[in-house]
Amino acid sequence: MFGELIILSAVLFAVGAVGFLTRRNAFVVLMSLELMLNAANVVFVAASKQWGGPEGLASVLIVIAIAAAEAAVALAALLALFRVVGTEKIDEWRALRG
Amino acid sequence: MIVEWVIRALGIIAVLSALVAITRRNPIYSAVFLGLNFLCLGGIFTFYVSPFVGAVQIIVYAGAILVLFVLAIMILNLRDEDLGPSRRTVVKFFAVIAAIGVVWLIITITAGFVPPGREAGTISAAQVGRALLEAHVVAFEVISVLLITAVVGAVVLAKKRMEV
Repeated sequence: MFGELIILSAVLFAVGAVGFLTRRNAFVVLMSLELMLNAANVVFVAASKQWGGPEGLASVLIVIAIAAAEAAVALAALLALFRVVGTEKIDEWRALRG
Repeated sequence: MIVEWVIRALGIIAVLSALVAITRRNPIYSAVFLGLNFLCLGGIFTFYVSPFVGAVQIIVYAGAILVLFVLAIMILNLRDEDLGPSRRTVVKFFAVIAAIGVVWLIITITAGFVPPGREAGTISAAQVGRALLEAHVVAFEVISVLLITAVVGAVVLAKKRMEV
């Protein structure tokens, strides 16, 4: 079961990385980021069970808190950028001065 | 025994929904399938080791973060992404190759690796809380500072008038 969860995590991380690298919609890029964070959580949970200690689960809670903070700041920045540039396509964000 | 098969089924659904989520044109559909992915992972956490962490996963990810995404997408009122003829086939090709490489690397590195230690049963929320508040209390406090900073930063970013 431990090995299978590691493989699940690797696959989820790879899917998130592909989405992060290939999509142009800024929202989908952020969602791919959340996918990759979640893949890390799967490893923490599997290790916590294998070693029988609560530290892995504590790390999961910390990662979840960081993901929430990141989503709030990133979406606020994205909305502010959208108001200035008028598009959510990251290809068209060329000038980031301001 | 049956729990293991439930976890495997949830894992397969999680991978499929992640794949669907990153290939939809409309970001709302991406958000919906991302929610399915979060729910599956919450189920895995619940059945595998800790119902508490599974519940937190579902409340924070499928509740708060996903609602934030859907709200932002709906505020902007985006049309369907006109993907059109993609100019980025090369990028996609190399991204997929790199992803397969990462998976292969992780599988070969961890193959035959038998971790030491005993498999625990479920780990209670009390144990997790004790680990957070006794051994790792510094990390806990740093996280609270990070959260308040993020909230203030988000409000400042949202209120600021920017001109090009």
